Amino acid sequence: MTDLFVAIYTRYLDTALASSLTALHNTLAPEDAVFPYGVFSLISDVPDWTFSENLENCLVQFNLFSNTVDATEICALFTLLKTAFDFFDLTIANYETVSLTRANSILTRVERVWQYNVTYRILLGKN
Amino acid sequence: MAKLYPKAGYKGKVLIGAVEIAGSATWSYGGSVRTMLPTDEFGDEIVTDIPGQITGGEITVTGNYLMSQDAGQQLLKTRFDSGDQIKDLKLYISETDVIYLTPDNTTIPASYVTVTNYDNVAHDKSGVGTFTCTFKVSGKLLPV
Repeated sequence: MTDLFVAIYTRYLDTALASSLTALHNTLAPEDAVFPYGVFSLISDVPDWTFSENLENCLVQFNLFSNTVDATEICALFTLLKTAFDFFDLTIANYETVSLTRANSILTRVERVWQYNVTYRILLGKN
Repeated sequence: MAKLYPKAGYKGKVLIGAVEIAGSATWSYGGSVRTMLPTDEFGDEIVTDIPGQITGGEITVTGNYLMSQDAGQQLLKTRFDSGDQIKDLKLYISETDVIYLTPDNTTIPASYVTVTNYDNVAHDKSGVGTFTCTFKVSGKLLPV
């Protein structure tokens, strides 16, 4: 799903989230990633079809990381992420975005690192 | 005789003439029914029937609603409004192998279908728009 990855990253660069994160990595961040940073990954891609159309039902997860003492920064990043992607009509080569909806989000803190895991469901129609 | 296999459902299609009812995901046909006429009389212990007329069944097509601008939806509306006898409906079992059901033109009179339900649309906040349409068969469908 290269087309999807390109579309997500292009959208990210076009939003305020890009100036708040040091980077947005695909699937895995390097060990020397600088806080705050993000990772997005394709969790699942389930095909669907009618007699005449092909569809892709994708789950994409964003993981936002912050090492500040309180949750102010991580929550602000979450707000920027929602603004960037909730119900957005993603421009994607070879596909039409049928829907882009936030499915769920979880905030955790492990070893003094805040992590917001936000999952989106993206339904794409093949052109 | 070579072994026969069923056909995968995704190879199906629904056409009226050359116009596809795009977005279709399922079609079903209830089959023809022959009316049976009882002929029992006083004193008969069992009911006996003789075959009467054949009644065509109902076809249901469902799928994703591709908006009213779609040619297939527009044709359904046209045919519904006019009550046309449709003799070129094709319910494909396999488009690849060109196997479909269509009104039987060898019956007397020739069979046809009529659109009986159109614009049956549903929309859900968590899903996609869907449609359902139905046809009534007058006569029989023939597998081709």
